[in-house]
Amino acid sequence: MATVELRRVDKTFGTHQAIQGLDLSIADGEFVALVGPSGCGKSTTLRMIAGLEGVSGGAIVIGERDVSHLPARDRDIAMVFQSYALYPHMTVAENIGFGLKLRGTRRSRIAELVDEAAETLQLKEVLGRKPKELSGGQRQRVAMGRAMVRHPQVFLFDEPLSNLDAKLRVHMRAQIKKLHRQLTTTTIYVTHDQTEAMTLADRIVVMNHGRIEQVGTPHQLYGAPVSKFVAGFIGSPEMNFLEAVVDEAAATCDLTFADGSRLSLGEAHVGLPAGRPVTLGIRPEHLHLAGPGDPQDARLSGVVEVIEPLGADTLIHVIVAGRTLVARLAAEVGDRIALGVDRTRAHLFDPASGLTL
Amino acid sequence: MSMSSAPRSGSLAPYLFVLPATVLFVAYVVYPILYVICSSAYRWDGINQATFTGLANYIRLFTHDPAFVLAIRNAVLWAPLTILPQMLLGFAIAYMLETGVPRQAIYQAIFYLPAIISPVVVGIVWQRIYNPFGGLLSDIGFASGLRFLTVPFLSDTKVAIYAVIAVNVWQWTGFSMLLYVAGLKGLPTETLEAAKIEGATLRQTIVYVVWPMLRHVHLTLILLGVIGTLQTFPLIYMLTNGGPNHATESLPNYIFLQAFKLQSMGYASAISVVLMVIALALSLFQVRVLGARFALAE
Amino acid sequence: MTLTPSPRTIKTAVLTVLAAVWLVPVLMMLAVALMPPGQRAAGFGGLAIKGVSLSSFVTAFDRAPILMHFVNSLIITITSVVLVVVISSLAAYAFARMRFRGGEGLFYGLLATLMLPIPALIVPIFQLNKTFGLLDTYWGLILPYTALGVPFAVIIYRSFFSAIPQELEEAAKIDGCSTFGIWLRIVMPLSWPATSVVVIFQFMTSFNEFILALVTMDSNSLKPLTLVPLIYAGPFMAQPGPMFATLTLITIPVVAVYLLMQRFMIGGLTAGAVKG
Ligand SMILES: Nc1ncnc2c1ncn2[C@@H]1O[C@H](COP(=O)(O)OP(=O)(O)OP(=O)(O)O)[C@@H](O)[C@H]1O
Ligand SMILES: [Mg+2]
Repeated sequence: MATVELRRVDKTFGTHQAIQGLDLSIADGEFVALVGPSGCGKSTTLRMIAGLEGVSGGAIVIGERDVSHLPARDRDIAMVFQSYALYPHMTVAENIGFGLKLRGTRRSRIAELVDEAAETLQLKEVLGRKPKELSGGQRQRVAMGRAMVRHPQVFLFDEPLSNLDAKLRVHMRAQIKKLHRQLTTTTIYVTHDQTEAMTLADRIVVMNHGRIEQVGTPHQLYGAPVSKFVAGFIGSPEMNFLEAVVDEAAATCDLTFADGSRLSLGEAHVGLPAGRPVTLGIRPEHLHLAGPGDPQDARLSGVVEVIEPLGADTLIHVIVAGRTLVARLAAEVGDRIALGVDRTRAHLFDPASGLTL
Repeated sequence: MSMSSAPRSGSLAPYLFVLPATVLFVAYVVYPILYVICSSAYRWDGINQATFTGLANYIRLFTHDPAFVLAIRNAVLWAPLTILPQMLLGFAIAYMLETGVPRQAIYQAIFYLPAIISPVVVGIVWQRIYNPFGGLLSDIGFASGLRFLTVPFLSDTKVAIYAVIAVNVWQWTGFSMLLYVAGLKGLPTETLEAAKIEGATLRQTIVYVVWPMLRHVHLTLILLGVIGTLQTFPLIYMLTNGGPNHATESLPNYIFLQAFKLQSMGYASAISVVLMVIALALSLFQVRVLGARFALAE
Repeated sequence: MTLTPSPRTIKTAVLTVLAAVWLVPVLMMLAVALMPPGQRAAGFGGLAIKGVSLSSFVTAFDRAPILMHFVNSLIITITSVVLVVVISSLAAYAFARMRFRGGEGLFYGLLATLMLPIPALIVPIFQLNKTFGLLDTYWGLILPYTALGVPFAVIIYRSFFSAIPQELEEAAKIDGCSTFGIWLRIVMPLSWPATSVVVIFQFMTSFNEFILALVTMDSNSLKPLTLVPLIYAGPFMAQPGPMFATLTLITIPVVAVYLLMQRFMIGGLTAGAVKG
């Protein structure tokens, strides 16, 4: 087990700069998730740590060793691929034991370790089978077994669950969490699925265009996003955004929307100059049906356009100030409703830079 | 995507991987090409001192050599008369096989069988088939009254070249079939089903869907067929040795004759150069202009 | 393919007739080889034999050291097959997965070799063998057979390798394989369909070749099987039986190799057979 450090890491493919000045410190035993939109450089980052891509600049340090120019096999890491990349011509046991065999581990010792891994992952019955004779979930577990068995310093996962169906994905997510608690191996986990990131990770790294947008605990990212990008990326359904202008900045922060309707954020965001354009961000779960406790100026009203029943609760789409807001509420299509805004949970962003104000 | 940017133990690896192939390529392809080009400017019997004669070999080849003209004529006949039947027959067989018949593998093996038999064997066997005295065809001819089957196929200057071409078709149709089978297997089932749903008849399906979608196979077969035409040698050597009176001469056979029977290494080299130029020009035309490829599936 | 254009029976009938016609020369060869001695006048080119006898084979083995020639053929063929498989798969792996200076040029050079009529090189290859003292040696045939077989094999292997998911090789890298180790332990074991194609083609080419053998080999004791009908033409020609028995013996090994590996052929030609 070890710490992992990226120091001003750059990566260019031809003229395309995929990663720019990435700085990241991962503690020993920590579980870090990399998230971000497609093409933002998550896989590239992981592959540089693995040694499958060279760095164009900067350094990668695992433990105390600068591994930037070491080949993959000397980095003492293991990786689980999205496609699992199991060797089709080897049995499950051979797949899992291959890395050990290459390192000259004794045959009996390999058998022991493979057995142990198979035990943990419930693969004992299928050890003699070839990958094509396995179910998707079993293949996924074999890929994990192959990574675990060597007891590497770092686990790297590149969207390991995205080829599984929804139910299995939830199950494996729990398995991975349990495994990490047992093994406490430093883990870097790339995913598209923010629920996965939120539930698994100690810290989440949000990437965008080859840069880190924000690093923090799931709680921090959810509660205090540094930018509109992070705010929109974390949380589901996505945060609602409304363009507005600050029109009264003395004692309270009052906003006017394009259609002339208004909202007061109270004392939460005082200090902005009047006339400043802002983007208001408010999560669906922070909107409620306005009741007597909601001040008149902390309400947004609109017409319900669509309802999406999810079983446990319902999402509604409400047209407010010409934009669609999503709220976690029950209502009927066509209802004219007033939404109460949880003012302390509202976020303001600079429309130009996207940064949190 | 390449792994080139990944850190690796030594960037010597690719060079070590291609080294043996490169050595052989240089020794047995590059060097021989340069060698024939040089030696085509000499008069040389392969043993004694060679005399430099400049372009004399080429002048003789293009102006005073009826055998060369016959060899060229034969190549011009040979290409379409082998390639087209082999393609059409090969496609027909492959299509019938691929649309479902019992024991497909056996038929496939039978049609491909001639392609794996040595030209020595093919030559001697077909000599016997074509033999006007007790050969298979003449026996059939006499028994059935079809007198045209009793002609001396291989020693009649008018017929011999077609007789040899027929053997070539027999030998290589199976190869075309094999490539078409592979090509048909690669066709997306949905497209064929879509054609069916749109009400295409069998003929329409073949003409408008299947045949056009196998374009890359056709191009490969034409490319290989043209090159094959220009290399046709062992079969002719065994069947007729270019005779009678050069009626079935091919450029390769003529090179061999000049080099090893008449000991004119220089002249044989000049023919070799001409042959290579023709082959490269035709192949490059097909690859560049028509988009033909050697890749059998890609 | 789910088209059922014409009734199966029609297709089967057409194919059967065609296949029968295609088999005639081979059947005739067998018939003449199995013809009992003294039955010169069997009709239809010898197809209509009465009775079967192995005596022509016995005569062939008596009159010529068939086994010795067969062993020569095997030595030359197997060596060149092994060399072609190793040399071209190594090169193809570099072409498929690595980018290096001169790589593309070399690849296109090899490709161009396929457009070259090989008989045009027979004079210089003969002279080359002479210069290096390879005339009348096995290597005088093995090396050119290998060299001329490599380009086609490289094409087959390269397209096959390109279809192997790259993540497999990356996984192997992380597991601790060197580049050579990946080739040996992952890529080659997965590429047996391509290897079968290469083996079949190279085996046939090397085993059947006789022109280069004719000019390279002087001593009868080194000549391959294909030259037997030419060397012993005199004594044999008078007797079709032993001659055709010899032709049959030349044909058996290639047919055996083909039948053994046939089922891998189509897979090898279509490539991309490897899935995770
Ligand atoms: N080998 C390569 N050559 C050229 N460009 C590449 C290469 N690998 C990645 N890129 C580019 O680098 C950028 C980052 O790619 P990367 O695969 O890291 O994205 P990602 O965040 O993993 O996306 P996804 O979520 O879709 O997997 C992309 O623009 C991609 O096109
Ligand atoms: Mg990715």
